[in-house]
Amino acid sequence: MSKKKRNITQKMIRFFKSRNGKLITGTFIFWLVLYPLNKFGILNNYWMHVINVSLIYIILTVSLNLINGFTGQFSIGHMGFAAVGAYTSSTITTILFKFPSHGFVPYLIFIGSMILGGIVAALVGFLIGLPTLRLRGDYLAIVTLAFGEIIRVTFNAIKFVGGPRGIPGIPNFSNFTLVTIVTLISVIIMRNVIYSSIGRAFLSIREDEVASELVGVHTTYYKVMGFTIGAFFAGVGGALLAHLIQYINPLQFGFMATIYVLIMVYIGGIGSISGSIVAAVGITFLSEGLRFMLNRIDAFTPFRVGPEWRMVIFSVLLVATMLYKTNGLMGDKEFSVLIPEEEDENAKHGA
Amino acid sequence: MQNTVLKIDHVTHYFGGLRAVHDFHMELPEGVIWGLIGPNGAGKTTIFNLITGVYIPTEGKIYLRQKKTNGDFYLEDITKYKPHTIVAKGIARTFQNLRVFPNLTVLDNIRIAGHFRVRYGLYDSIVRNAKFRSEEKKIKEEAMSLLKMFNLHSRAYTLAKALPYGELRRLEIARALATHPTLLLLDEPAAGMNPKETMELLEMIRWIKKEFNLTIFLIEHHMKFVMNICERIKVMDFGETIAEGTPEEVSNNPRVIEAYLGRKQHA
Ligand SMILES: Nc1ncnc2c1ncn2[C@@H]1O[C@H](COP(=O)(O)OP(=O)(O)OP(=O)(O)O)[C@@H](O)[C@H]1O
Ligand SMILES: [Mg+2]
Repeated sequence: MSKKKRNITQKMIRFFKSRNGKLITGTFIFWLVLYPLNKFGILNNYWMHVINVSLIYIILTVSLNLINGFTGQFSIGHMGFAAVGAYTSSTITTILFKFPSHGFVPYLIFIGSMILGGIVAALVGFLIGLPTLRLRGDYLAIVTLAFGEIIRVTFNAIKFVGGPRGIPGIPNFSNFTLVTIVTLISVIIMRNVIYSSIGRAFLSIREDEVASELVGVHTTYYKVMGFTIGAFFAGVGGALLAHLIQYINPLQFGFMATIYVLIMVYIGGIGSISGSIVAAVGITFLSEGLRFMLNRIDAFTPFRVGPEWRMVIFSVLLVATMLYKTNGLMGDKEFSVLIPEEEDENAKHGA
Repeated sequence: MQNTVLKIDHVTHYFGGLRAVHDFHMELPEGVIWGLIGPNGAGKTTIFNLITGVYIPTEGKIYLRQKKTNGDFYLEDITKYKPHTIVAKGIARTFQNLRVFPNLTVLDNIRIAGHFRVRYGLYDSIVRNAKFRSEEKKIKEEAMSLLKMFNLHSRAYTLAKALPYGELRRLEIARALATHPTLLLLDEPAAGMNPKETMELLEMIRWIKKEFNLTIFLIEHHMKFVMNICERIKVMDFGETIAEGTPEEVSNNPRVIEAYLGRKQHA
């Protein structure tokens, strides 16, 4: 009896000492600090919203990094997959069922619709990736660019999902707790894929596709797999975003939206999950700060600068990062909590 | 032939209008070291690219010996197979211009090779179950022991791009062996090496042939090297096979002397 108890205690200690334990505990503490701050009104809902957005952008950025950074492809239609996820899940929660955003069953159905959104996005990704990724070179960029536009036009044309007006009144399922959990799980899953023979296949394709094929990697298979996994998580991110903003329309997921995520990937560092996390959070907050600042400049100075100027600033920031640190802020380094223990000696030891 | 490992059956290859290889024929017996020589642009690397599926020959076929379940051998037509399939069937190669994965560690360069033997999938890597852990352990141990054989184990966690040239060459050979080949193709393995390194390489090739039970087919410009190690040599010029035989026969062949020496003096 007491021996069993001791075993459990030992197991728990081992868990808390492990990287995954630290990652999960750290996230829990993050939640534990912010949640009450918001509940007691110290942290207002506006900032809570920004935090949620930044967490969702972590999913979007890491998943695009999986395609562009780790597998070395060049997709520029990532938000198209987010649109697929957003529309799939919102159709279920808003148009088909009209759920309130509380209660156990509606939440369960929302989570189901989010996963379904990911699956549909992945399916679309697979169908686009299979013919395109067989070819070497820049076809993917062209096709994904076109895909992003096609998605926009398609949702514009479908009356059932609101056409150009989009879907208003989406229930607010994406609360802080849920977003934190989904982000954590998404990052862990993508991390686990990256640190496996599958991830090594991705990396070898990025490094030298011909050599990779000639040491036995079925490069087309793995390129499609990486692309499909990336599309899945873009779909999940899109579903979360829809239920946070509570309103979606086709324009939100256009080319500029993808550029925004691309900037996060490249500023953070291609091939670095940590970099994507830092950049997603940093740029989301910077974006909010800039919106505020630009509004002030617009109101109190003769300069007419709208929030769209943020994109210019981010582009300058990207160029500056590239000049100063070619491989982005983190290069391909990782925070050590994000590296599985068994890979320890392999670690590209990070900050 | 019962013990033919690789049969290249009258292969011709065009790049657009350029005939890079014309009517190349060869039956490579098991356990030999054969060489392929010829001046620059003769079509040697193209032959390797045809064998490994990088290009599909315009004409002709390529066969590789495979084992049936009952232990008998047969020649399988691999002409149109994808490179990764051909690797899985037992052909490994190195490249004329080194092609290691520069930003990956030495260990990962090895672990990627022979990827097709890994017996866990996406689900296993996500949940990190016992199957995943034991396979990963096995892959790593195997890679480390291979690195040890090539005296690279102390470099396991170094990025490949940080290695000196000689070690890179060894890494590339080790990576090829990690795919468990029966036939090894070496494209100018001695390129860029000094005489001492070249002699060491000779020893190493003899040793790996024995240790890994290989058949070896190699391209080399370095005449002494080829004469020293190859049992038989094929000579190409402008895509044609101009001579074939033992090192002595080839080196006394007037066409070879002309192709090599004649051109060299002009160049
Ligand atoms: N992908 C390609 N497209 C067009 N032409 C090619 C291609 N690859 C090779 N060639 C041409 O085919 C001919 C044979 O080239 P190959 O690389 O096989 O020569 P090689 O005998 O290996 O020469 P070297 O000793 O310089 O390595 C050359 O004229 C080369 O320019
Ligand atoms: Mg060559």
